[in-house]
Amino acid sequence: MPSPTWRRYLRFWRTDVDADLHEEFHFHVEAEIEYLIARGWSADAARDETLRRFGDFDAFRRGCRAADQRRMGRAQRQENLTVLAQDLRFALRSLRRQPAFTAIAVITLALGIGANTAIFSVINGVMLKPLPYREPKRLVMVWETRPGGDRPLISYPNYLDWRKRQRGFEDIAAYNPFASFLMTGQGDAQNVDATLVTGNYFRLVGIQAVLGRLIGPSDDSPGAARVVVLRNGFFQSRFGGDPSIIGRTLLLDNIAYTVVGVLSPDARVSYRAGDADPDVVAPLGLFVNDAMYRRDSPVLFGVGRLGPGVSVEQALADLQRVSVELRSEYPAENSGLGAAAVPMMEMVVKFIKPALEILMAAVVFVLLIACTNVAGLVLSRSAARQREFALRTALGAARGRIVRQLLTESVVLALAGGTLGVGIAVLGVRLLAAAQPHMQRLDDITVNQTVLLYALIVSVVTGLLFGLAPALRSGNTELASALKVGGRGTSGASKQRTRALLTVAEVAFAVVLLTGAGLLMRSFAKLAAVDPGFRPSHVVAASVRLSPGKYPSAEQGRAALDQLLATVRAIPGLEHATIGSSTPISPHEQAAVSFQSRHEHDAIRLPQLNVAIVEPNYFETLGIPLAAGRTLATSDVAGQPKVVVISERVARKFFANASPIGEHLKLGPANSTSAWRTIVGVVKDTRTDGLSEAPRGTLYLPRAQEEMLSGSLMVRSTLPTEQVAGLLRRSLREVDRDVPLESVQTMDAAMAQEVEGPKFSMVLLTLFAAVALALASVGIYGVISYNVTLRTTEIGVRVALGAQRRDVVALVVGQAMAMAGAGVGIGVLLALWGGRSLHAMLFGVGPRDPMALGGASAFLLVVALIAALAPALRASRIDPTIAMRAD
Amino acid sequence: MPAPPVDVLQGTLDVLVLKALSWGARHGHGVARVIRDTTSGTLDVTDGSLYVALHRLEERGLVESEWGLSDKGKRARFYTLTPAGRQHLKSEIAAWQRYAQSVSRLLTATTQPA
Repeated sequence: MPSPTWRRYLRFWRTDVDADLHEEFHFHVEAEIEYLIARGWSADAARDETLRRFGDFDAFRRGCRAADQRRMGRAQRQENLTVLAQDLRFALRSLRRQPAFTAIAVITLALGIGANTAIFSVINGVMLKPLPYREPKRLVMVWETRPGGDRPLISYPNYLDWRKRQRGFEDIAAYNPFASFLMTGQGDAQNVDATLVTGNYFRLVGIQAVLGRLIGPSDDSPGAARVVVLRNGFFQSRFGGDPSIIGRTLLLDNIAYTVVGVLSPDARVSYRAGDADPDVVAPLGLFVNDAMYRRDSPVLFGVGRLGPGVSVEQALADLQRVSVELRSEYPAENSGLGAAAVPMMEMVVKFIKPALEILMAAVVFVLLIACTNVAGLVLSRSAARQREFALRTALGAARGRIVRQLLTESVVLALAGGTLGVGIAVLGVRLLAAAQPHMQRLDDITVNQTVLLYALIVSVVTGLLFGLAPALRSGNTELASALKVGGRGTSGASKQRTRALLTVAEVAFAVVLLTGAGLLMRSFAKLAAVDPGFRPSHVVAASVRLSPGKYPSAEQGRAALDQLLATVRAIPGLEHATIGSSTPISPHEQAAVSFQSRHEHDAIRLPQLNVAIVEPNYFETLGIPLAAGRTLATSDVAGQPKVVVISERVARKFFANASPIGEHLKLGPANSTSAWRTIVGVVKDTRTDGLSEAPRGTLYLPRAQEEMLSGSLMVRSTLPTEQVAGLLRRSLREVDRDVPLESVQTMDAAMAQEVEGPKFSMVLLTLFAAVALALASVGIYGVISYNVTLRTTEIGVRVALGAQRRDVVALVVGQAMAMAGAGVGIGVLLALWGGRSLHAMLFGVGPRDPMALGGASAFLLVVALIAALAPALRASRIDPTIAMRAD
Repeated sequence: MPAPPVDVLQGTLDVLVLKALSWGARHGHGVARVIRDTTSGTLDVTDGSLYVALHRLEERGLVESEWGLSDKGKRARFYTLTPAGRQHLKSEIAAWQRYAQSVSRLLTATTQPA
């Protein structure tokens, strides 16, 4: 039984296992019967004997088929690998043949992928990587809300009540990250940053000690033995990593503390915006009798660990229930009390998230532009290769094979771009870290495995993205027309159309990026131009902190600071020295204030205003202008009537158009025991809460009438900062050897730090916009230039028919401008639509700022014009006699 | 009366098949005939199991198959040894001889070893 012809035909393409086996067995049976008959067997006996000798047909067929299928599977895989290797070899060879194309494409892709990878490493480190705590997803920041209060803090007694009565959290802990101690007896006196934590804090968040133990519940009471735990870095730098530190005592604010433990090197005590971890951690319980830990004084951060299966919303609802109870139990302190709860991760990334999201969107746009650009390049290249493909098709290559070949080339290009891009990202991340030293979770930002995987995926997807359209188009080549010598094929025009569309898209993306960059630039310019309310130039500030143990009375402290000021002022060049409780652009202490002219019975509704304690020459030295009345005078001393100078905002808000001079105010409720003070003057406001925030309004009290042990020493001097710092340090040592001079900084530098964040976003976005612009202009140039080449004959004909040079230029430039115009139109629409997402990062400009939109559009049109000019001029020089002979 | 046929193990069958092909290309029926004729039916080998052996040997790359025409002009699948197959056969034969000599030396010993 011969197998049907079609089966043989089929076998030519692909082996048919079953048919082959059938035929093979069939042959055997026939041959054996013949053999036996030849030996004298009867036909029937021969048949029976043959079948007996063969055995179980089905079992043997199954055995053979299994072996065949395994063999063919292996052969198929081998074949695939061989084809891939062939494709790769071919791709590399063909890319090597056109080094200019390859270099441009790889660099373009590297820019796109590199920018993406760099920003993704930041996002991965800051937003995706879990916080270094036990089950960090269950950690939630909690705080109390009050009318008028906007800080996410809680008071100690309310914390205790919350902890006791709530049911949504496994536990709640609290900490004060803003403490600091003066450490003495260990060489030079030094200020150490400290965090005070409740006894359950470390257990709750899940931080480990590397030496000794951490603070526990038994350490957390006013009468407990005084213990501290050291940050690992501090332990290494200050005590040389000597483990015998455990059990030794440190003198902090002149009180002995026993070191009981050292944190593990990767431990983060807490995340508070932009700051490093504290040097030491001490039990909060030791200090809770201080006035600042009263019920009406929210000074602690609260962190809770959600109970199993409890949602943030449920836990919050429960805290609100407790707050309602506390409101009625302590009406005086807790009126209007509420609760808030936000996952810790959200709090940590709150400020940087909008910027990162915008930057991520920006780099995606850059990558899209890069893709479009390379797609355009590949298209023109494939136009040039049409005859090659036609030839291969004619020689029998399947269309799928050619498409696969082209995709292989694209992915190889993209992977090369990706490799270079990862290099760019590594560099970029390093530059980022250097440019943004105060960024949250900076240490977590690295180009790690996750980031590399991301880069790989982005590269492959990119390769497929920019390779797919050209590859599919090339598969469609019309044989006859493409093979004709000089024939450009009918798809030439449609390819150009595709390229033109790609360029329009590129221009649109570039407009979006440029508009974003323009908005941030204008915001930044406005922010930098904000009048801080004082003259920062030539002012050096340093913080000074006297130990309360050494100067127990107000007079002693005052005398020491007097002496310090006198010593400094005696130095030539440092005559203009002053002291204030804060610098004019740093957050001030706040207090509830009562005005005699306004009766406010509800203590909780009293306005919270900044309170600064300053030297009389503070205003003059810092250049804060006087608006009415007088500034503080050297005669405003203890024993004299208490006076106060207010800022304009306070005057406007509480006295409207009436003059506040001579009116009275006091700190705290009107019925409290503190003294009424007379308002003697009004000064301009300074930007105490940052340049972008409206000032809250400040009261200035004379230092001579107040208690003050720490503050900022500020000097207006033309001497170099380093020299000023040295002189200040020497003066301070003359007054008190144990007082360190810390955070020496010029006010200019402090101002620059204020705009560091916005500047960072602006610079990056501008950089990306510049890349986008460059790529888009290359795209326009490429399309127009190639178009001129394609239309050489046509232009030659036009010139022969009498077209002038400028007609030809106008023709080419017009085409470019049409493309750019369409792109700009679409881009403006996109920018208008997406501008809202920038809102959080803007200052002083709206997201639809016409200047930014118009500027970006105009800029792109000009760039398009310039990009089109060279091809246009080339077109205008076309000699008709040569052009028409070209084909 | 002939002795009862001896069971043949898979590995041994493979060697027999390889040996049958060592004189040149053969189709399955030819292989069966060679084995049956040279062993005069001493070995109990069903013809079907020879095919399984052939296909497994092909899977292992020890033989190759190709369709061709038999002496009588019919389409048949011919098997040939690959170089690897020839190498394998050689080492199997050597191993077999060592084994057979050892067994035979012991079984034919007439004096008790010291």
